[in-house]
Amino acid sequence: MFLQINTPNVVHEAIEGEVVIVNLEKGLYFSIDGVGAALWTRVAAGHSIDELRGWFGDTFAAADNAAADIETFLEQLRSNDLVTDSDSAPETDGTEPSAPPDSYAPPALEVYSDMEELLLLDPIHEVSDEAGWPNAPA
Amino acid sequence: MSMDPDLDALALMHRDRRRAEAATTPIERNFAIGGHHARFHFAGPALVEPLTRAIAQLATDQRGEPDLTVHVWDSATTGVPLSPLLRALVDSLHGNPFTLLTPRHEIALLTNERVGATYELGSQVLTIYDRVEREAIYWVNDPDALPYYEKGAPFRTVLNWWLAPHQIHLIHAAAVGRPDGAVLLTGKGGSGKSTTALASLATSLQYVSDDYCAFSTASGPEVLSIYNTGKLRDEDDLARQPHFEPWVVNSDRAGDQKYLMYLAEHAPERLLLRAPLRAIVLPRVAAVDTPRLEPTSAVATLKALAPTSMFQLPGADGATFAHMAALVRQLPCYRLDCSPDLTATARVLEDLVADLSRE
Repeated sequence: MFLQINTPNVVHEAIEGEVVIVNLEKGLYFSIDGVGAALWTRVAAGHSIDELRGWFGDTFAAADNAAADIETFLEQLRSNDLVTDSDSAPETDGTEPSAPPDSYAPPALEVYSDMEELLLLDPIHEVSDEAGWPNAPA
Repeated sequence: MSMDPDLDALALMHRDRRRAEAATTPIERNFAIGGHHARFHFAGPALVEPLTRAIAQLATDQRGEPDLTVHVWDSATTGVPLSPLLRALVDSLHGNPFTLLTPRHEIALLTNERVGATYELGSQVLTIYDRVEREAIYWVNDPDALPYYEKGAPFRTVLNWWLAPHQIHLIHAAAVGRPDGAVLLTGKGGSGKSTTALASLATSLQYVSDDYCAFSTASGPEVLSIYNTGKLRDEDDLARQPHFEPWVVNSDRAGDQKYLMYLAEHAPERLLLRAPLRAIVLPRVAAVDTPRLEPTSAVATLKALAPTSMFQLPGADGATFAHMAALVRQLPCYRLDCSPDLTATARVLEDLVADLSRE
C-alpha cells in the first residue's frame, strides 16, 4: 500500500528543511518541519507505507511512541485530503528523501486557514475554519 | 454541434460575442503585457474605459498578429443576452456555486487541458480561454454593476493563463524600485503592501504595483507591471496620505470598498514597467518608532507569497509554486516592520534597492 499525493490540487515544495504544501481545492496550506518533513519527502518519493514505517522505526528507534506517532501523522495527511491510499506505486515528481533531523519530535502537520480574506472578493462564499472554503451554509 | 463537447461552450461564447459585435461598433485596444502583444476587441464602448484604465500604461500601437486576443462584451448595453444554454449554465452557477465552482471560481464542468473557464458570482463575469488559440471571451452582464476590484485588476485570470507558457506568473504582491532593481512586497491583506508601495512615491523609488504584478523567470528574475492602480483601505489610510485624495475615483464608495486610483493618469513618469528583482520584503504594521528591516527565511517568504497568490489566480499550479520557490531561494528575503512614519518606512526600501542594485 502506498500514499498518493493528491495532485494536481495538492502542490508542495521542500525548502530549508521544511515542506510547504498548498491544497488548491480546499483553500488551506500547511507546513511540516523536522521529522515530518523527512517523512513527507519519502511519501513524495513514492515509498510504500511499510517502507515508511520501517524507516521511521529504524531511524527513531529510541522514541517512545514512534509507532503511534507515524500513524497519527499519516492519518492527518489523509484527513486533510493531502494523500490517498493506493494499491499501486504512485507517480513521483523527483523529490529526493531528505535527511532526518538529529533530534526527535513527533511529526506534525501545521494547518493554515487564514485565506478567508481573499474570499471578500466574492461575498457569496462562506468559510468555516475547520473545513476551509467554500462550504455551503448549513 | 461540435464533435468535441469540451469546445461546445467555447463555440457558444464565440457565437454570442459575434452577435454582440454585430450589434455595436467594435473597438480595438492593444497592449504590450510582459512584452507580449495582447489585442482586446470590445463590442461597443461600455467596457472600454472601466477595463483598460488599469492597464493604460501598457498601451501600444503595435499592429500585426497578437499573441493573445480577448473578446469583451456585455449584455446590458449591447442588448444581446447570453444564449439559452450559457444562460442556463450561469443560472446554475448562481444556484449551486459550492458544487459547480471551485474555490478559485473555476467552472469545473468546462475546465480541461485546452479550456479554462471561470465565473465571478459577485461581478457576474464569465471568462473562457482557449489555450490552443490563445483567445479569450470575457462576458459581463452589466458594466454598471462591475465592482471596483474588477476594474482595478481586470482580466487577471486570462492574463495568468496566457502568460504562464511565457514563464511569466501573476502574483499577489506590490513592487517598487528603479530600472536597475526592484523589490516585491508580499503578504496577506492588511500587511501594509499597498500603503508602503504608495508611500514610496515620496522617495526616488518608482511604482510597479500595489496588489498584483508579475514575475518572469525567462531571463533572470524580473518584475513586470500589469496594473497601474493603487488602493487605500479606508479613511484612516487616506488620512495618512491625503495627497492622494484628488486621485481617488470612488470617493463615494460603499464602506467595504477600498479607495481606488489610477497612477498612470496622475504620475505616469513614476511608473516602472519592468526591472530586475533584487529582494522580497514582507511588510507588517508594527508598534515601532522607526522602521526595521531584518533578514527572514525563504520558507517564511514562500508562505507569505505563494498561498495568497495561488488561491486568487486560477492557472497557478505546481509549476507556478516551483517557480515561486525558486524565487525565494534565489533572492534575499526580509521582514520590514513598518512604523507610522510612512516616508521613513519607504526610505528603508529605497536604501535596500540602492544597496542591492549596486552589487
